Amino acid sequence: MTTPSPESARDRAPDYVLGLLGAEEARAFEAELARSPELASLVTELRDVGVGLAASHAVAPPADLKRRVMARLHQAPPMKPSAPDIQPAVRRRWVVPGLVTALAAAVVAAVALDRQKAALEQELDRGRALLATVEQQLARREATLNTLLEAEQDLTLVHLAPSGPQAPGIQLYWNRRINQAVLHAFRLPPAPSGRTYQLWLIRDGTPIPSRTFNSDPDGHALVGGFELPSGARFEAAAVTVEPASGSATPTLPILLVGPVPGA
Amino acid sequence: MTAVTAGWSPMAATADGCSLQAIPTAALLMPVSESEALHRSTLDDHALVTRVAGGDEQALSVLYDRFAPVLYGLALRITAEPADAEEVVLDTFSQAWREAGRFRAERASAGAWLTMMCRSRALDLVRARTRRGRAVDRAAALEGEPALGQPGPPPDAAAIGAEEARALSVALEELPAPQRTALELAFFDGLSHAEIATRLAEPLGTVKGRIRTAMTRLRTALAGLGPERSR
Repeated sequence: MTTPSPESARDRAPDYVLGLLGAEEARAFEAELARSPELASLVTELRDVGVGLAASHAVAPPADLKRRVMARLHQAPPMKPSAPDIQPAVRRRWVVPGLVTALAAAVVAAVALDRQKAALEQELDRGRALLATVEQQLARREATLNTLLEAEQDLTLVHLAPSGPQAPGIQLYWNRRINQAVLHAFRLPPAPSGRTYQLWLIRDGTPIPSRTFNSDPDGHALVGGFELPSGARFEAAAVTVEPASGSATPTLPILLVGPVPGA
Repeated sequence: MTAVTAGWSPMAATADGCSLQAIPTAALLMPVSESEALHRSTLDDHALVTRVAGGDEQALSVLYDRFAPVLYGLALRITAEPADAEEVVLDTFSQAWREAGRFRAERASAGAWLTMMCRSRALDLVRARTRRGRAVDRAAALEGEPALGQPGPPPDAAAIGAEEARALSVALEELPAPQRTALELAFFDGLSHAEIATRLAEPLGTVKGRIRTAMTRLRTALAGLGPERSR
């Protein structure tokens, strides 16, 4: 597995902004993005190009849309609403001669309410974080489904398996239309510590490195929507165990292998 | 273990509760005076998003006035269905309202943030619709839409600034048609490189190059306006 140089990452910045990178490429790009302020600046500028493209098709929305947008706001408050600026007014009302006791009680109540509010906000934030996680999971599953279902007649299923009914196996769904794949492993024990499984595509007898992955303790792995090496012609797929960072050349033995139908 | 490279024959080598009620933020805010409303309308986009994060509905209202035509036009261009476009815009501003606290100005301008959310939602909607097998007659639904490769109307100056709108309009018109077509297929139709290459019957590398060049040219046109261009 290689880390893209700043120059190659710079070349790929337009692809990233347009969502044209595969999941693995996007992750590698984002790693570079976090390290390079120059790249981050470039991406910001390219994102503004998107605003310009959108603005070239600007259309006045229906007249009642704004009312509907504003009405919908009350269904969910913002993530972290700031405290409304009412405290000075409240304080002014508190400073009344003869009401020292009431003031003390009010302060105690205000502190208690403030703590309760903070606790509720924390709980709300936790709920929203959970919701965001679930939304991300759903988005990944949506992408996986898209890879499978949008292929229509261009879907190829490659079975990778050794012999034996209880042996581990892998199903590789290859959407030839967009050259992306979904990998499903079963009865595949997790790779040893510090190691990972790696998929290889075989073309003219030459192994081409692809995605690394690992299975969960139940022996399952589902890797969705990753790009296969370009060329769209392979005779077989295989899986080996490699160092955690992946390899450029496969390490024997081959664990699983299967021919690509019609190759 | 043995490393191998070319001449590999794997086929022969196999081994083995809390009931929290939504805070009625509007009720907590003081009534907005005309001067305050005017002040908000002159705030830059970033300041408005910051206020939205604090629960300021008027700030969102101003953001809507600035960006709704752009977002609705984008959603309409992608979905080709006015009802779907309205839903996308509703969802986009709802998401902006909920997640304004996560906005980071160093990652994107407020306009880009809203545009990305809107585009993503619109493309998701179209993909789901396609998957369900509901064919859409884009040409009939969007009467008068500019054909691919043809210049569209000038960019909306209210959203991106008059100077930027002019610069981008010129840059868009000057893009060679093949570059513009490839870029529009990627941006508005959400097609992958491979899908665009198939659609245009062009090599994959050619398509990648055209899209990158087009984006770079448009970026250069905007960047040439200087750092003070951003609101």
